[in-house]
Amino acid sequence: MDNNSRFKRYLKLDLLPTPWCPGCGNGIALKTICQAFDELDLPKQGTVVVSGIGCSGRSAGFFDLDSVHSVHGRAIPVAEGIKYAHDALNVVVVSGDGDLLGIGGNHLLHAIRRNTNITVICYANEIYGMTGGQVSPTTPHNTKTLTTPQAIRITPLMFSLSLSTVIAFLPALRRII
Amino acid sequence: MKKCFLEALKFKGFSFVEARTMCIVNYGRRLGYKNSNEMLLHYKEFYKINDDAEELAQNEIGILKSTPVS
Repeated sequence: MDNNSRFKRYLKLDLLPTPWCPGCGNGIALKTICQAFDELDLPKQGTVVVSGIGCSGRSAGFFDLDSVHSVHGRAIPVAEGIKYAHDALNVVVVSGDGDLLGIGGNHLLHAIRRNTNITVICYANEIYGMTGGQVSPTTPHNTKTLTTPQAIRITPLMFSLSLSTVIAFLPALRRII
Repeated sequence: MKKCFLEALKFKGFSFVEARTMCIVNYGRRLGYKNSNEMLLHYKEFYKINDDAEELAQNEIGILKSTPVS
């Protein structure tokens, strides 16, 4: 394999094409994750991918690695459990915004507090896409969706905005404890 | 985006990447985008890249780091 297609070793090629709709961004993100894995040369035996539920949750099945398709919103606790049980593994969570920020928001907050050495990748598509277009935590201000026909008036939750203070606060917290 | 993933994978401690993806079928279609390329170009126009910032605004993307905890 040449350098450009070396990332394909992290994918189950016989399962492709993916079931996502034409024009979806998840496939691009999946490819980019594989390229990043390839650049760091992560071992196939020592990497675990955990995903939640949703369109993006499907992506765990396409990695040619050990992967867990966990329950809705609880991808991070599963990943943390794996990391605590076997510290040498690289644990990556791949999930969507409705799963991580909406239903699993509490788990995300506490994962930050515990500062577990895992990587969380969130496909934020600003909507609950799989169930038909309901409003999600990242839906931008003043957008009409299926469940907000008169446009949403709530500020969207952006991780960088609302939780950056938590990250900045973490080292200080550690010192107090 | 690959740079973000690389930084996140290398970072010791909890790291979080928020990738903006487009959902054309259930979201873009209702907003009036004809195809996903149009939606992607809108994202490109709307989100500004701000690499070395302490805090990000609503329409900015960039990398935020805390000091690594031993």
